[in-house]
Amino acid sequence: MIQLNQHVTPDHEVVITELEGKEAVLLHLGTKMYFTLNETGLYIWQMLNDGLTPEEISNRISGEFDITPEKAKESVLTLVNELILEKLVKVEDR
Amino acid sequence: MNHREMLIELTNRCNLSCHHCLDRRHSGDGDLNIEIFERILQNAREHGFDHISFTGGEPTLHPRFTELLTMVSEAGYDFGFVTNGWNFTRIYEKLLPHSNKLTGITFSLDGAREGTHDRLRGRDSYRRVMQAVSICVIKGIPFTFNTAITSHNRGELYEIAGLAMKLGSRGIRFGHLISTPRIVFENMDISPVDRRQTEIITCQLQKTFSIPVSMAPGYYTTELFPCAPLKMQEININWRGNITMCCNLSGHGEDVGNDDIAGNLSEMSFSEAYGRLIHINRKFQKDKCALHDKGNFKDSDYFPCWYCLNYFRKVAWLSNYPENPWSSLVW
Repeated sequence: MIQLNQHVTPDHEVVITELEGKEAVLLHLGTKMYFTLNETGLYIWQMLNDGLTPEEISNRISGEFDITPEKAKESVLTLVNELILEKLVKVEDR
Repeated sequence: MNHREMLIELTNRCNLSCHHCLDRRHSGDGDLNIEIFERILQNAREHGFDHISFTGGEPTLHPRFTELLTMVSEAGYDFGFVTNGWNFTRIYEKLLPHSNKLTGITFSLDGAREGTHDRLRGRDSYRRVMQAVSICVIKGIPFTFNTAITSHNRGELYEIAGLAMKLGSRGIRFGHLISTPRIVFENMDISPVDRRQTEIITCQLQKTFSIPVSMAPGYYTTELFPCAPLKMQEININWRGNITMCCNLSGHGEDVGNDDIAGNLSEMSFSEAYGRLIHINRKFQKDKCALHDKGNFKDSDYFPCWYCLNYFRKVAWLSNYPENPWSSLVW
């Protein structure tokens, strides 16, 4: 399981295509598997790409949307763990 | 009546400069005149044409591309286009209102690996294609791939077909190169013997993969008139408004033969130019039959595109490159 303060970055083998800024398709060039992200998922992906940790992302989401910090953390961790499972992101050793 | 297709070169401009492309297809600045395009739409159907495939250059670069799509759709033609995919994230939304007339998009894919593709087509072009097909998959837009077989990618044909299948393509079509000085200079083409070997591999791939794997016309065949242009099921219209025999004969520049050009649509009606094309085609067929029946065919003449390039005097310059395996086969 990923820790809240660990850095996670998109894998170089992943091609992201945003659709009208509301959703995105991820294509892993190694596995040739497609994945979709909804608007929230895309927002989290962009923040991961900017170098934010899951904790920082959770804080930002709970601050911007009507959602408790606990729920935000749970949602972010769930998505990030799925991304790790599908090899779409890499956990960085910092 | 059989379905007939028009290949319409919307522009000779291109955002890429692929190593294996004809120079005049990516270094130009000409766009098909929209009034000519209107006349094509008005008159082609009475000659049995019901499908349009946009080519180029990069067809999406035509400054009025979106408007052309609407015109085609409203005129009731089915359509598709060949693209390098670079602009697809920008233009795909324009396609969606016409999806009932859009038969499919063909993306150029020249390598299974990013490095192979980008070596021929330029940095990041592979990822642009991948973005384009991602959109197609999500939006339900049918797509296929075209691959030009070169000395760089001939070892990846199996991988390319596999990639196409995994990505959700409806098919993959391999094709031989049309010689250009740059292709010769960079040793990208392969010999006649090697071409036939790749055709054997392609046949094997047809049995291996669940999607259609095919060879574009131009492969070795003893059939004298094997392709849609020679059967008059397909015509080419270049960006200047010329009706011509075949897209593979266009884009070779001004200093080669131009007997494949039937007429310009700014100077004559579609019917008149089309009538001239029929005449050119009949003469071509008669000449080819005569040469064949006299036993004057070289083995290389069974590559039909090679035969046409010679017949229409597009490859005389190859004689200046005696080290090239095709040079001695020019007539």
